[in-house]
Amino acid sequence: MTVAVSEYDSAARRNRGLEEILDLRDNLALIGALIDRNLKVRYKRSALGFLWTMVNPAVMLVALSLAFTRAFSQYAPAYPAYVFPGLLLWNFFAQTTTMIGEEVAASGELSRRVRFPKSAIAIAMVVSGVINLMLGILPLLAVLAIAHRPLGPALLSLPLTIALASVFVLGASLIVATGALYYGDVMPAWSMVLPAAMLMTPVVYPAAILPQRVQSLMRFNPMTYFVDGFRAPLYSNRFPEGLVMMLGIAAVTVVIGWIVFTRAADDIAYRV
Amino acid sequence: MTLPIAFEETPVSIREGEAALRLEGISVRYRIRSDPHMSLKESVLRRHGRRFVEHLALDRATLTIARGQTLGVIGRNGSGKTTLLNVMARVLQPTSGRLRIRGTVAPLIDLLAGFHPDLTGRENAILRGAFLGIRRRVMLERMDRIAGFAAIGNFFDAPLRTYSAGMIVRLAFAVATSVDADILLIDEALGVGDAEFQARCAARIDEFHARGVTFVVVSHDVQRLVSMCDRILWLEGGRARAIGTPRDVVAQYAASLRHP
Repeated sequence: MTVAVSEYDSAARRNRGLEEILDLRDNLALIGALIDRNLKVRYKRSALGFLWTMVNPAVMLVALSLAFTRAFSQYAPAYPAYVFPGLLLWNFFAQTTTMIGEEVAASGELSRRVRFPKSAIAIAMVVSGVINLMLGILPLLAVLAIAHRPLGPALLSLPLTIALASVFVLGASLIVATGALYYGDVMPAWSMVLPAAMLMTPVVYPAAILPQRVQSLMRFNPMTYFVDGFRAPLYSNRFPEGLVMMLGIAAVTVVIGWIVFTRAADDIAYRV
Repeated sequence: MTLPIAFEETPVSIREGEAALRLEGISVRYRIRSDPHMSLKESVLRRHGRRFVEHLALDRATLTIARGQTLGVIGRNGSGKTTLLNVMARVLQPTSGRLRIRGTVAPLIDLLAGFHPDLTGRENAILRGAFLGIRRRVMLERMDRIAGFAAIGNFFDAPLRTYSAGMIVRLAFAVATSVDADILLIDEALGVGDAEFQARCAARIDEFHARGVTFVVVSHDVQRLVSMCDRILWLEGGRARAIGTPRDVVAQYAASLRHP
């Protein structure tokens, strides 16, 4: 029986970031199993199960709509239809970065036992987050229909926007997770930064209500582009304007995240 | 500088192609933080203070294990046994040195790694298999064999948190040994389960042995090692105190325990 024997030589190690990519290619089954686990475990012991994915933003939607529909009627008519897409995308960002940071920080024990590409944890979590986001689009479409928002071919841009946002979220998560590996303060700090950052992003209010100076500051917030881009086809029936910006931000973030994370990943097992 | 007692001067008549594992001058230096998860404030305040204690867990280990051979590793707690296994499992990146592996490695270091309490035995088997690099489809094909070997009845489809400690070990061992690996790394934990299950574990290991699988076994059960190993390595303070035929090494080790 002659089968190709796998060979490993530590002297032949390549660039760490490239090696991780090759390692992931050999571990697609692991990514699949982790996605499966994330989705199964998430609502395993709850009565509503998967419906929670939709209940969570729906509750916020009702509260925000009651509070702000009148206040923002001039700049964001049909306010529920304005706020819902932003909420979904923001939740995707906030929950995914938090869960990846926490899981990676807690993976030291596992990393000392089995060898696997640590980035699989992050990738599986991003994919799980995308699945949740897509499930959230179903009630969103219902809200849009009730609000009589016109929908058109601009919807075709959604997959691209979601893909770019996912790449950005992956990069941001890897950066947060790298920090969380070294410092116990990073995750508590992140949970404090997130709500503040949400207010610095046009999620619950239309950017037009802000003074010009603050609006131009908002251009330095990467999430602005993704939230605006995701909302454009759904709320205003137009294609997103910031695609190139989104592409650039996503690419830069994921490259930086990949480099810092793969450098730190070998260290996980050493953290005793 | 004291030179380490060489792990092995000359690989015992092993031709290059027949080596399953080859370690060349592998050192592992842990930097143990006084507080593993130091906070940001502390790390800023103590910037100039001593932040780690260094510990050399393996000191220039050079070792060749031939295909089909069984190497036993003995030594006191903290002598570097687990570190050696972790390096072979590529869980731990050595600080220096070169590691070469020919074949697939299955670590049976911690059987529970990757299990989730809310998933069933069947689901956990697939997850654990994935951590070992096995596809879902292949795991599904092996599932009957795994269920049969674990012999935990209907619990196989119940969440892991409902299991007794013994049942978890049965499941874990069944999954771990369903793997088609060329090199098996085993840490002592195998002396678990009832007598009947232990006998089946031993039979499974014999079966692997007959297939030409290479073993590295870390254990405190010296007698068991003598009966199953081709060679025994005695580690002390990250260095080889002795390596050779099981009876010789075990006799020296026993003598050192009597007259420390």
